[in-house]
Amino acid sequence: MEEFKSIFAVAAILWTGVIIYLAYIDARLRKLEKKSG
Amino acid sequence: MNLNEMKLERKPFLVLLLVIYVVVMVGMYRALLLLGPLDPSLLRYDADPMRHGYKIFFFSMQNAPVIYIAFLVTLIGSVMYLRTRAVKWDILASSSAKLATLFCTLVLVNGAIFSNLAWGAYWNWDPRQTTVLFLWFILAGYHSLRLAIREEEARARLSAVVGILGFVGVPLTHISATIWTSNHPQIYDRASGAGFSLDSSTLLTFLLMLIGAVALYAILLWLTIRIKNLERSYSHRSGG
Repeated sequence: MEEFKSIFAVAAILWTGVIIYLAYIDARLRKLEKKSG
Repeated sequence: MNLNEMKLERKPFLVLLLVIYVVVMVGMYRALLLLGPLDPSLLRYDADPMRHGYKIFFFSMQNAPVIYIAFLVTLIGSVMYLRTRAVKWDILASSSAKLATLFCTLVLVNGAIFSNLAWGAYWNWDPRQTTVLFLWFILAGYHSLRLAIREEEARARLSAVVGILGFVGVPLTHISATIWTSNHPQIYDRASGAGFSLDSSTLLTFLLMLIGAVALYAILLWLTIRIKNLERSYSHRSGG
């Protein structure tokens, strides 16, 4: 069970990173879209 | 729906992202920490590592339907492009094909890990494994063709034809484990006719991961289309 706790911790960190990165891309795109009208 | 004007309001986008985050986090928690080892009587083959290793399925299995959905969207985009010659359909088809390749790669990598646990080798030429690889090559061919043609109209027309013909790989992949001798586990137990062979707790975990994967595909498709629209407007402005 211990190794699954570690796997869950790593998976949770990676998944959090993916979500934050997607929000970041959305923010960048929004800026560019505003610029291009 | 106007694909050229695909701009999502900020709040719904972030709410959708948060919902996906929570759904997948709960799914992963259930898969890794809540569900126990598999009952040995459920194993079709002598593979003790699979008692715990079956959990790789929750990180792999849900990606397969997403490949089918993504390829179906490519097929629809391709057919609509050939009918209407509107660039928005080409953008939809090629964006979805990109994501189909991403999810196909995930399935191949996770499938190889599962294969090593269950059958002792990363690659077994199992019909399901082989047809997913076949699908990956079709998608690689689609992208290579697009990279090779510079003229926009010819690129869109030819890749639409490949997008339509290549779809044959999807039903082939789906039925491969039943029409050919395969060790690949079946989620639906046809032999007993009892419906899903998974118990309700395992099925719920799988469904959470499936919802997360489909929603992630939708978000990525939205972002990819917006990026392509921007690229197009910039290249038109600079005369490229």
